[in-house]
Amino acid sequence: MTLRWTVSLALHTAGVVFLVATVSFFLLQIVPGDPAAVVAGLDAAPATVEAVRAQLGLDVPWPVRYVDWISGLARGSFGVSYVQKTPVAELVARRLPITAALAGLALLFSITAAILMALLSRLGRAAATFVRVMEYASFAFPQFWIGLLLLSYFGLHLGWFPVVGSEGLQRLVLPAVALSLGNAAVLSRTIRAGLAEQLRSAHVVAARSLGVSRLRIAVVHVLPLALIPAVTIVAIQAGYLLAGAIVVEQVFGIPGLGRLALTAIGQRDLPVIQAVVVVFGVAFPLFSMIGDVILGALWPRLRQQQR
Amino acid sequence: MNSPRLFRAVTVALRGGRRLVGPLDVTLHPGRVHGVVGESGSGKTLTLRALAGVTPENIESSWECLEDPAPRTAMIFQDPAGFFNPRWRVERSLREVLVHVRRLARSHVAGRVSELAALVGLTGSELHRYPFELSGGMVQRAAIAMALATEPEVLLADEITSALDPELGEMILGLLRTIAVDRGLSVVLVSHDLPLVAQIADDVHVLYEGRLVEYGPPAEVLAAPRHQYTALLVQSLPSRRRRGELLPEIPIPAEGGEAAPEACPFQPRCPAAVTACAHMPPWDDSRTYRCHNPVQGDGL
Repeated sequence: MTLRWTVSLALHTAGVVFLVATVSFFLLQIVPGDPAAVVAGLDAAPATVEAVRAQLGLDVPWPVRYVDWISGLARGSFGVSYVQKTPVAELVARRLPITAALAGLALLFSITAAILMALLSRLGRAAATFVRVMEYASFAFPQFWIGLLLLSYFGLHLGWFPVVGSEGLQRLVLPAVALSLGNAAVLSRTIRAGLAEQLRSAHVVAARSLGVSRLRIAVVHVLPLALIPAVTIVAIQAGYLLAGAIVVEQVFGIPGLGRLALTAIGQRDLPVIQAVVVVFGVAFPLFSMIGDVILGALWPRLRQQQR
Repeated sequence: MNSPRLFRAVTVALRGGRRLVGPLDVTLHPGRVHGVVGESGSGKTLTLRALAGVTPENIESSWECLEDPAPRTAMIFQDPAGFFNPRWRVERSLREVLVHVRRLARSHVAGRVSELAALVGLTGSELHRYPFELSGGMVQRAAIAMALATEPEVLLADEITSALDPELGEMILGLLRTIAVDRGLSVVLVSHDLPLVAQIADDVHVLYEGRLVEYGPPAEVLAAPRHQYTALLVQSLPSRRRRGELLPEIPIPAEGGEAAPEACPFQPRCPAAVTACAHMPPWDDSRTYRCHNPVQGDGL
């Protein structure tokens, strides 16, 4: 990790934050719905609505509000929630670890399942067909439906996992499984293709001719190289998993960032929505850079090109 | 130590289908370089891969060996960079063979790596580089070191100089020859480069359609070939003596013009084929070629 790489990461991330913050600000200005009316209540008199508007600072022209928002961001402030009247940064800080844990667990599940599925597919024709069918099924079923299915069977019927309430990782297991299945299928296909390519490669034939054992060739030579194309996909998926948590958090009643965003959208709580969009936006370049580091570790030639 | 290494009935075939090579009886002598020539598709590489036990998935191979255990083989391939795990430095690849194939005690590994490097002319800094950081010649030397790390009795070299310039190719083959002689290794050298084979090899074997059609010392086989195919193969080479002349072409047979299994495989393309070619003549001690109508006189 060179200084150049660190500076590049910082500049890249800052650029994305600026872009995402700007786009989200302007998009939210043209979205129908008046935050002041929502905060004042359905039956509020026009004068009350105006008073709330002034109180929230929405009576100020949008260019001024935009400059306020961007300069606040530069100082690390997301503003104050219209509805909860608390600094948005606090709300995000409280919810982010929950969503990050959910997405991290989902990522762990999807990578593990994908590697196991890809290895299983090499055991014979029947195993390969089974893996393909499982992949199609994982692609085809929507996350919320899988979530409901898991909840009703493992939560209600078997009682292995809590349905509501409870703290800790145990409550995140079922939602993480629901979140990971689609990604696991994409990864499994990529790793399978990588395995097939690597098993045909010259260095594997050479290792066999030198007498290296089949198990060692599979685990030490083939697998790390087969994982290389998957790393880029995982880096992209990690960002999507954070954003994808919105639906799953709703189904499982998890108080994460996704649920915060969904509630804020219903309440037209613009600072909260903007903050969540920025956090999700930052995740993509960050994970992409982490992916580059892992790729460099797996593939020296790339590391040399990165210098 | 000096007895020949015999591989009997070397056969390669498509899985459940057509035979591609053999059956061939391969006799290899310690300290000698055996050249194998023939056009593309003649079965040279498949023969080597059969002996090394690394035929592709859709191909099956078999052979018998009177020695038990069979002689240890190691193969060096056409693309030397492809020989190495691209994630590893050359030294790590060498260590893997020594530790996980030869089961050498870890305390002896570093010394053995240095010995192998010195043998093929690699420096310490070259050992610590990735294969893609080395020149073609250096990476081929590293590939030879890898093969030698397995302490083989038979070294199978498949077109190992085709990616190198002629001078470098000659140097690498010279190194291989020295190692073969010093260590009593049998080297099987497959190449399209007939002059180079003539220069390096102790004997030459000519393959056509997976069958041996002629063999002998290079001075005899390549300078005065007897089989019609060998003669045409040699005549196809550019030569100063025939400057200005068109190179002869080996005629391509009409579609479906494959020889019967018992016939000479070159019969459909042979300009000098006779009726007797419907049955290939057997080998006997008196001849080193299988042709009913051999090239007469001094040949070329």
